[in-house]
Amino acid sequence: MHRITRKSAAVLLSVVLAMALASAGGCKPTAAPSTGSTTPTEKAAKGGILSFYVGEPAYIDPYNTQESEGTQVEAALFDSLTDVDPLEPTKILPAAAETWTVNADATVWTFKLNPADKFHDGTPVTASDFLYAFNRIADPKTINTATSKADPSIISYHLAVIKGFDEVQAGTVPAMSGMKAIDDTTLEITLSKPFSDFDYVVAHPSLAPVQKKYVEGGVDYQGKKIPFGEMPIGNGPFKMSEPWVHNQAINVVRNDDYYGKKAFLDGVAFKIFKDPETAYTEFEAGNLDFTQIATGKIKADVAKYGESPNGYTVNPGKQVLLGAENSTYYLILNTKAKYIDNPNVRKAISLAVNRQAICDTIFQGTRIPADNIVPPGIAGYTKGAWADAKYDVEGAKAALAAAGYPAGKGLPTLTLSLNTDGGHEKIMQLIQADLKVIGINTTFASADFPTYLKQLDAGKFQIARLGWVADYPIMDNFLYPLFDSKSADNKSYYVNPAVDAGISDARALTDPSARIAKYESVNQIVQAANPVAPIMFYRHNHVGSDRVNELTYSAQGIADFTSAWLTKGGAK
Amino acid sequence: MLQYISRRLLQFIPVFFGVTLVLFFITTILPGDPIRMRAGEKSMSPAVYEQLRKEYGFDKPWYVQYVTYLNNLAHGDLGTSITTGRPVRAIIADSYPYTVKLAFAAIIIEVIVGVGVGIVAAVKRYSFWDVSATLITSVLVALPVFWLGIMLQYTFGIWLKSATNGQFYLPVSGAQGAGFSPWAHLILPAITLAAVSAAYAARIMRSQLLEVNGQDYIRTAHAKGLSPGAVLSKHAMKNALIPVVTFIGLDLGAMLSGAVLTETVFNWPGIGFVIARAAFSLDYPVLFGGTVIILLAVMVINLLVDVSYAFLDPRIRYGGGSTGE
Amino acid sequence: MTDEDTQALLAEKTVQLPPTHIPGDESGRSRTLWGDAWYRLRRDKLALGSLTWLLIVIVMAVTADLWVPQLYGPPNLINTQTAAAERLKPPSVQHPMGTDDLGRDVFSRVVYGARVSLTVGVAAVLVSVLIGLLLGALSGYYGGLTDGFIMRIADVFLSFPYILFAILLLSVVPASQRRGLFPVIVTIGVLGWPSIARVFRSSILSVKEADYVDAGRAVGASDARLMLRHILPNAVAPIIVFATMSVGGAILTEAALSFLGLGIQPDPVSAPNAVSWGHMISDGQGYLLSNPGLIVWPGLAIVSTVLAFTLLGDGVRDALDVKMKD
Repeated sequence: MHRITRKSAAVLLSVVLAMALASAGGCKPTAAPSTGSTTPTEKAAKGGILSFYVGEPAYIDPYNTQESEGTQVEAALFDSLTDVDPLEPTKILPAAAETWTVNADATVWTFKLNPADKFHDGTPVTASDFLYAFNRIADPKTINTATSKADPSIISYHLAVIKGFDEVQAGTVPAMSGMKAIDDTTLEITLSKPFSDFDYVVAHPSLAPVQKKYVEGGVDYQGKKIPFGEMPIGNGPFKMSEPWVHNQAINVVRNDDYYGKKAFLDGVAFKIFKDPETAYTEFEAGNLDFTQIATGKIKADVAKYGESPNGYTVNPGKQVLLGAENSTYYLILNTKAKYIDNPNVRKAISLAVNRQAICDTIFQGTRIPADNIVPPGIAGYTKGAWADAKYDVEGAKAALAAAGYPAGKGLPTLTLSLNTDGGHEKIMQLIQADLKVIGINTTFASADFPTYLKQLDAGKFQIARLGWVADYPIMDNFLYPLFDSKSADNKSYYVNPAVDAGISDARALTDPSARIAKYESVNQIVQAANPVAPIMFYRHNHVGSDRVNELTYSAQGIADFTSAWLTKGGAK
Repeated sequence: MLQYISRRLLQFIPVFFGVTLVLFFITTILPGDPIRMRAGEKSMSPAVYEQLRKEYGFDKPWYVQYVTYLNNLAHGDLGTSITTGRPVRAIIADSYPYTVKLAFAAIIIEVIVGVGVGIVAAVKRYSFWDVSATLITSVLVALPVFWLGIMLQYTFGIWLKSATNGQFYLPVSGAQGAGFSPWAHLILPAITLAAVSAAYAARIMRSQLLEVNGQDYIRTAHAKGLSPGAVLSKHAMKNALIPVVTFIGLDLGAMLSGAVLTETVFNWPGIGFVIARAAFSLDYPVLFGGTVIILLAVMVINLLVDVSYAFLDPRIRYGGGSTGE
Repeated sequence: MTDEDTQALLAEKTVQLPPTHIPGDESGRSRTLWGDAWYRLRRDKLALGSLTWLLIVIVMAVTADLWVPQLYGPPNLINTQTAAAERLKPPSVQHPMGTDDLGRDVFSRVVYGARVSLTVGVAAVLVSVLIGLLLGALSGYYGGLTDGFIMRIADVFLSFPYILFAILLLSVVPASQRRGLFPVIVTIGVLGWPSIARVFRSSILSVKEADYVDAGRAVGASDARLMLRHILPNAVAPIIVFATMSVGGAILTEAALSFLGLGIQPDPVSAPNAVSWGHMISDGQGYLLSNPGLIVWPGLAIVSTVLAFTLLGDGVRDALDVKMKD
């Protein structure tokens, strides 16, 4: 026994010594990032790996990338048919499709694919790859080959306008009748109803081409078969260099055979962190090139790192991004709930909220008070379009009196529903104080997120909160989901045939300015009824390191890595 | 001995069923809907919702789900994550090695620092070293682990880096990364995880040695003229070690069940955080699978600790039923 | 892990020592025991210092409503008019520990945090002691099947990773009722019973066969009477020591749960002034370089309070338990 103890102590000691030695060797810092001015001509020294913060994605296989984490990675690996200009959301660019045409009533879309577009394995991208990819998203019985179980896409709604979608969802047919591969490079998509903004829909990163043989057979890596979802083979500017290292990193390298503009960077290391706080600590330690700014540190960071003039592009000394995002934070006013069904009560609530105070106090001015449900980055945004989305205590009191509840008399205590996570409590506390001023007493009904979602789905609330993040930067993506009576995202349960008809009409207009004018007329009908109270528009709160140049992080929250480069070719 | 082990293994059965039943029962009374949770703030197509409910068996009563789960488990199938669609077995295979690595690193620190400090404090009783050891271990056991972790991150990851002009520092978080060996990534989390336990180990070691030293046979050994070192290593240590081994063994078991706080602060990809996140997002298959695995690990470690008594203390015999527990 | 596990485990280990006095004449001997213990405790400088510190903290927490909001401002309420100008101020006479990112006084928050921590710590341990005494008594006194059953349940509880179990138990509570201190107290309390039950069970086992208990049984004393009059008084010392030490563990658990976002939350109606130190640390994480006070002050508050309970527990143990002294 005695001997054994000694021996094991010796083993332990040697392990510790080895550890100490290894760590001493490992503690050599990476070469110090250089500062100093660099002009674009020094791009000769291109290369380097840019490290970029993401949370652990749920999926990086495009068919099921819903959350921003997965979309971020997947957008670097794949190209969809079209692309939205990262700096001008109103401009739509060719991507996998070189050109496209639409018929007069916006129901038949024909995309000509770029013949140079190849997957990372060298196979040319064909129309049938898009066919396969789109049907895979639409089919609720889609099999996940890693588990051999059905794992349907939760983002099939992107394709709901395509002819035959409903039949595929119902399980009666396996493929959408509206999807046709005319030849290898011609894809024809027929819609069940006109939709003039469909070229924005197909720009969504998740609607990317995939190859059936890899999806179903797996991907070869070092003699092993890896599930497609662990190491997707795409057609984008970057490709996977190794399978996804869960909870740690997703490493991608430049695709040198890319048909479009090749990237300067050697690669991107998507570093996975559990929360933005840890990521920010790593950023402060100099180990991360792009991250979200820790809550409330935005002003200090602007002073320290400089603000990007356009709000979206990182350059040395102009590293903090504060550009507007295509998303709106709003109160849902349940038009089917007692008391809230009174339009004047809704108007009073909207007018009572001091939006500027919320933005200043809680977000230090890094959010913008909302004066419209459509945010400023979207074509057709009109300043002050929602007349009641402003702070007007007297107007609020008058509206409450007009509703039959002067100074709140006769109105019982109303309920403000919110989810406990995500810091919404502070916002709701201020709204509660504002409502009290005009005589509306409120109490909180808070729930964890899963329960909260169920309450919203069941319509069991009076006043609640949500944030709407646009899938595509178009007015339709706010007006249809939030206010069309057929939409499941219409949590106000607002029904107005004129709005439904107006959206349908607008979708059929192929002339962009006429279309926007029509959407704005719908927007005006909606705002008069106040089914929601827009509170604020989101803005970026991101920062890049001082070696990052020309990294654009779009209003949609998608990074464009193809223009970015690192000073002195990166640190390594 | 074999009889004892098999009896312990039998005792494991009711505990196993107890834990899994409690878990299943809890999930049935939770108000949230894991399938709905997938779509987040956006709505979900009814066809997809129904398909997913069927796929995960939520259309059946909970006891049917429980029996199905046990049946699958018997066939080595731990199910599929609701959030990511990955096999739970793959998720655990990814994360558990990190938990094991961190646990053993922490245990090594605990054994060397904890036992070492305990011996020094006992041998040099009431000396400067003893008093400092007592004070430091008292403070350590009062530290919130997550706070200690954050402080270490800033001190060795950020402050040290700027103080030495970027010449020397430790990685702040994660298990791998450019410029550092994986061992370097282990240092701060392992210290954080070991700190409290090492303090306890030191305190137990010290008090046990002092107690043993007061015993007659130690006095006899001294009287026989044995050197203090020989008394310590030949007689005192062996008896004083039993409670220390118990403590460290149980501690290892606890560490192998995942260090939620340490893993959270250091972004360590271990199983503790995976299970905690599964609990938050109602990803039941991951929650169940992870719990079952760590349950097994804890049971095995506890059994090994008990068995190791026999080697440390020949007086303990595991024959009859009276010495169990 | 889980320093909480360790703490429970260790306390259990160090405390499982049989009571050393055999009361023949109960009242007289007991008074001597407690008198002796108090005498010894008074000579223990560390324990006495801890007790003093705890008394200061308790007085501050109890009287907070009378002076803290008046002098330093309310702990939770955000003043929308002044917040932008008052945020992240360095320490001053007006704000002894500075202000946080929403312009609230950190000292005020730390003091109200003490109220939450002490309440949760003590109340949770009381819950554990109540459940633990009951089940430990049943287990130790009746033995056999009852004992086996209860101890297996205890095994189930102890096999579960502590923090995870707490997360699960808390998620069972509908979030609308998760406000205030009650759910956290019950959760931590419920998780703590197996250790108390084991300590009490072993105490009972050690005195059950003592002569005076046999004698009581012989003259026909009822089980309940035996338990209350003879066994409980003898098992009380280890329970007191264990409970004192557990309060620190409960405070740490509350802080950890709050750090993970599951702990105490203020409610405008029922708990407008509830502040958790753990929550303060998680909120302040982004400011360690620029405003270290936001995370250092609540951290020190936790350490000093838990340390005081631990040292006091050590002192009480030494004072009550002859075997541990020399």
